[in-house]
Amino acid sequence: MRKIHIIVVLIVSLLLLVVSTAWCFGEIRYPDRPLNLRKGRSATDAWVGSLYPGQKVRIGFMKDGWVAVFEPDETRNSESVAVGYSNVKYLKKNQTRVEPASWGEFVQTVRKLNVRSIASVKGRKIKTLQVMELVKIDFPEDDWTMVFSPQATIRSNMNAIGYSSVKYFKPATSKSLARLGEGNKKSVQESLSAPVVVSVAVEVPSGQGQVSGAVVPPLAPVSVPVKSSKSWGTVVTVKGKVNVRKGRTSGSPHVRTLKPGERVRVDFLKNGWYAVFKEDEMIRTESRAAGYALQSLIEADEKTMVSSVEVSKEIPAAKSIGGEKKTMVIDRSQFKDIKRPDPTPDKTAHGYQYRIVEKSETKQLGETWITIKVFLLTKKLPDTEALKDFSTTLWREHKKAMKNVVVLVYLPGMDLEDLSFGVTKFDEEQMLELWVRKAALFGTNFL
Amino acid sequence: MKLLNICTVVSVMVLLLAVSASAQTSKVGFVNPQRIINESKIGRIAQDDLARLGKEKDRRVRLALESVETLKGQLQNGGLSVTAQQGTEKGLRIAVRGYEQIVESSNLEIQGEERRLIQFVMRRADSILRSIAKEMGFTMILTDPEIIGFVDKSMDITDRVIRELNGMI
Repeated sequence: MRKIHIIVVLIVSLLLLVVSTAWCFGEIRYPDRPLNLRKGRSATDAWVGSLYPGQKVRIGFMKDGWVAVFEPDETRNSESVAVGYSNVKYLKKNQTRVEPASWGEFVQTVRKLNVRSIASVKGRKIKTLQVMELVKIDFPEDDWTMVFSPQATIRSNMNAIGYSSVKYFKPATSKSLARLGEGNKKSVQESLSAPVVVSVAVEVPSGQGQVSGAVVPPLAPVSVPVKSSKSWGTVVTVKGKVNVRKGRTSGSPHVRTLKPGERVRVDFLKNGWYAVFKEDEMIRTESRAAGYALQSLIEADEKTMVSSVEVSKEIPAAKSIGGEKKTMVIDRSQFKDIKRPDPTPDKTAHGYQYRIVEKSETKQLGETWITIKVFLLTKKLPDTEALKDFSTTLWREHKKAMKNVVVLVYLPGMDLEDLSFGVTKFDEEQMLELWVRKAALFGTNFL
Repeated sequence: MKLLNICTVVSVMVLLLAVSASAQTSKVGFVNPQRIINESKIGRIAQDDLARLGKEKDRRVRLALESVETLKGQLQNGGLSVTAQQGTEKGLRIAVRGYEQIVESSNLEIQGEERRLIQFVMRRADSILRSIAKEMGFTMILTDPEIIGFVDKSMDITDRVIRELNGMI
């Protein structure tokens, strides 16, 4: 009798295990950056959608470092219901960065409506939506749009139910959205209660956000630097793990992590970020930097620094407020050194030598904008007319149908990663506006 | 009982001593970002920049409004054929939508630009702030006037930051 009991318990346990495995296949992960979803297990496969940093997803079916991505509540353990594929290295076990991005539009049908397999009435009927049924729509194509379940959280065209004609939808009522909200509250709470591990590099660089009220972090003690064999920068022995990023922001892509005990050379301190170089780097140019690291993390190890820059000798020692009157010395050479060298122009227009340093495309308020960052080599501040002519020429070269263009003009001495001097906006047909920021010339010879 | 009283008095004294000692080691300074924006040269230049952007946006809004008024005028004057009237009505709807979009996007852009310019100026002030903090031995500098009940003049370094910023132009 006892044996039977044991066997029954074992069978029940096994059954429970199988059931729980079926309900919770794969594992929950969170992207550490905006992440594209692909149709297959390769970066060259078609783009099907994207995830925002920190979005909760379920992954499974790993092969060659690529995984199938599913809705977090997905229970069907089948690759056929995957909403896309992504490289597993960008999907972390913990949320390191959370930047939610909304997508789609909640709508309701005004009549019974067929959802089809393609954006045409010739498409196979997949489902019929009932009158006033709430759905989410996105990826519009002419008069058609992709239809998603209202619970869909992942923006991927592989996550869509099918296509419907857009003219039969109307915006969802607040009542139906409230009903949906009740249903989703649980999952939102789950998402919020998920473990959040914020990386140390996710700190606001100094100088940012101070207006809204903040405190400057405590200053590290001043060290006595010792001469180095190299003639520039500072050699640091890293004590803790330090993230190196592509730019001077915590949102920039992660390049690598410095390990404790690793020695690197740092220089070009700006906005609380150091450019990080190999220890034996001979050439002092920011373009040779491996990336950027937070000053506070680097200077945590200041006592182990070996430097050739004897700045601290010029700064008077700290004294109490009630003491005698002091003279403050600000070493302005520090500000000169932190600038990146100006780019070398490679083209000429309207008597100006220039170089296009960046061209990108973004969406703002539903419009597509082509942004052209251009460095203009000049000794005289260009007037409005000159800027207009020059920008118009660039616009003519780069304009595209249905897209707006913005030309951002930088002058010698300006930081190309900061605000531009000239901003000229164009639509498809003409110039919309032209504006200059004189404040952006701070630190240049023009101001 | 007497021993207990003595112990209490000694504990309170030790606690007071500890508090005063910790207060001495941590010095807090204050800087007013609003004054830096309003009173420094670079802050005033940034304000002029913003005013210029406002004017440019106004110009675009006026242009959009003019096209709406023109179409309205055409419809009110009458004398249009049915087809022309339908075309003008459609044009008016598009023009009104365009006008509303320009007003909305202009307001958003001006707000965004204001934030960017303030951050730009404060980033320039930041390096000076750090030097002053180091020199005066501050371990913390507060920047929000809203949370300050009282600040001694000697702890307010706003004037020095403004002076140094002005000296850099």
